[in-house]
Amino acid sequence: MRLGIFLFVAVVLLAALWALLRPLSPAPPATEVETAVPVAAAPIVRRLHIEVPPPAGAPAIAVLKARAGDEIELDVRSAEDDELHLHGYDLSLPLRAGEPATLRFTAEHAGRFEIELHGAHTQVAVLEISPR
Amino acid sequence: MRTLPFPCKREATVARSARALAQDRSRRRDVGTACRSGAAIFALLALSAQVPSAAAHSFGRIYNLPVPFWMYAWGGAAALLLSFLVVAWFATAPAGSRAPRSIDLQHSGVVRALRWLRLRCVLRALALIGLIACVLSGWFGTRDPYRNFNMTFFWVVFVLGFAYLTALIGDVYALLNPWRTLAELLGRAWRGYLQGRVRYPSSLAYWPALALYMAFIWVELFAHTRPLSLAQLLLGYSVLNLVAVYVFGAAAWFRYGEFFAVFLRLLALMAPIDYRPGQGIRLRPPFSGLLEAHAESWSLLVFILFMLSSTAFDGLRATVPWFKLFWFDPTGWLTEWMGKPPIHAYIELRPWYLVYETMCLFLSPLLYLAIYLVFVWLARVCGGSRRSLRELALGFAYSLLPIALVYHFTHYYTLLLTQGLKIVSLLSDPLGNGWNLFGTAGLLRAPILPDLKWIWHTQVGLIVFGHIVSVWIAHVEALRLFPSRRAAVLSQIPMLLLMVAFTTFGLWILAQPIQSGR
Repeated sequence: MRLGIFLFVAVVLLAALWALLRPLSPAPPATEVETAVPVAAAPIVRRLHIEVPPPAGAPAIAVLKARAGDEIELDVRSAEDDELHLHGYDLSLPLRAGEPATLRFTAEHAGRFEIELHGAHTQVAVLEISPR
Repeated sequence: MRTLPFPCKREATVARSARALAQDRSRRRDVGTACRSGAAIFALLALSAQVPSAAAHSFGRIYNLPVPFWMYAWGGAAALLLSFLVVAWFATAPAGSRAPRSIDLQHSGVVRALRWLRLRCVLRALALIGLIACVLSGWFGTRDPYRNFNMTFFWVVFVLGFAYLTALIGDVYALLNPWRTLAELLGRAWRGYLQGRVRYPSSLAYWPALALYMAFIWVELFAHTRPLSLAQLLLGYSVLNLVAVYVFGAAAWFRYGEFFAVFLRLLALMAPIDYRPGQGIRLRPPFSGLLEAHAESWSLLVFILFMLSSTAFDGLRATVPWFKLFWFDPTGWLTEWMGKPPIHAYIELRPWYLVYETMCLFLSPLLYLAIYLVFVWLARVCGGSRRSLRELALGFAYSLLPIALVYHFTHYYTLLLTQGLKIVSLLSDPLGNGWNLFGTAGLLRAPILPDLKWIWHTQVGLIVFGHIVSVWIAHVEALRLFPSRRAAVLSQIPMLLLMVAFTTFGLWILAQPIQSGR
């Protein structure tokens, strides 16, 4: 009996808190990837670029942003032969020195995924995919 | 919000070219020389800082995004409210406490069947083979950490997976500890080896285990192990264990010195299965093991606090606020001292940043200890207890373990899914050279990445759950340590605030933006 009362109070408290704090509209936090296209429309193709070594003035590790469901085209240009690896998705892209290469995939999973060069063992970018 | 513009873009960028990397290294060597004259440890740190900094990461990548602010707020508020509910529960509970029930499994059918299967021998053999396989594959296998068996098996399956399993199924490690097996095999050939040469000094207590645990966490966070260096470390640790058994004897060393044994024994206190080799096996309510024993020395209390603080530190150092605290120098002290903002001397300062982070890591349990003692002292005052501060501090030590466990679990568990499951394919191709020993080389290669919302909810939910268990355990403990029910309830107000502080700090870390490429 007492246990029942306490459990009931606990559940009510947690639910009340949830109702109080939960965001009113499921608005995505990342504003710069906002688009006027409604969510139900065709997937957006998002072109992203990586240059190795990064051009002057760019941060050493580029932060690329996208949203879950996007079709991603990742253009990579490297000064040396190497292999690009996208963690999590476990996708690889062979790179020839000076030649642009493109990695195409659908951003099914949200999260923060590191992109590194296998040969040089260096991280070159991070891909942040915000949930839909 | 997670892109952090580098004011010294030029320097950070150019560091990529080979020329700059070489310069960078020679500069570090200079700093390293300066250190060596100072203290040996600093020299060691500066040397390890010569690893190209851009690859600065321990094994395995965590793909979580920070928990949204509203969930963080919900978690903190829920922890606070539910804590007071626990207080109310104990304040209104009918007098008289009953001992937790337990069921003896020693003679149950399942246990008999397992005994018939010679499970003990099988597990011990498998664990030893696992250790040997880690060393061999590190030595002879691929240098790619993701394709070598030993990195995933040791860092993810054993250090994370097995630890969480221990909290569920009890202290199996006491049985299958491969270093103990190794020592016992040696003891068969060498009479008297296991007895040791000197009596283990009681003043040493668990300090050796704590020192080794700290060294281990340092390696985990800063050493950037690769398959070969991991194999060397494991071999070194095996030799260390064998020598220590020779000196102190197996019984004392595996109780006080071997830190995995200490770490996993603490986690096993929360398991519903109480297993002690040679003494039997029984079923008990989950977490009730925390009430069956007390921490017997300061060293064990500091060990527990380091479990908390090292996990918090690992989470913290990945965040933007932590990065800014040093490199953007909000206090202005470093800028005044150096004549320029630290971020403009990024390359020169990196070795010193490592020294600084190492000091923070090693001092973190002392900071936690100071905070903990203040609150235990407050509990002592509020409850009007005559017991010594030491007795109370040790008495409440185990009640922190649920918070430590959920901290650890919520920080790392996605690695079990993203990297841990790859062990299935790695088993068949341990050296990464295209073998398919058991025919599993192609299995479970596709990434398993649960939806982020699901991860956030489990993270916040588990942290609140662990918090409530900790508050609960501390309360039951207080009823024993304080003279009256009223005193016990009063004493728990400060303890509850302490736990809310630990919990909201853990949540805060999970909610912070992550710094790229530290």
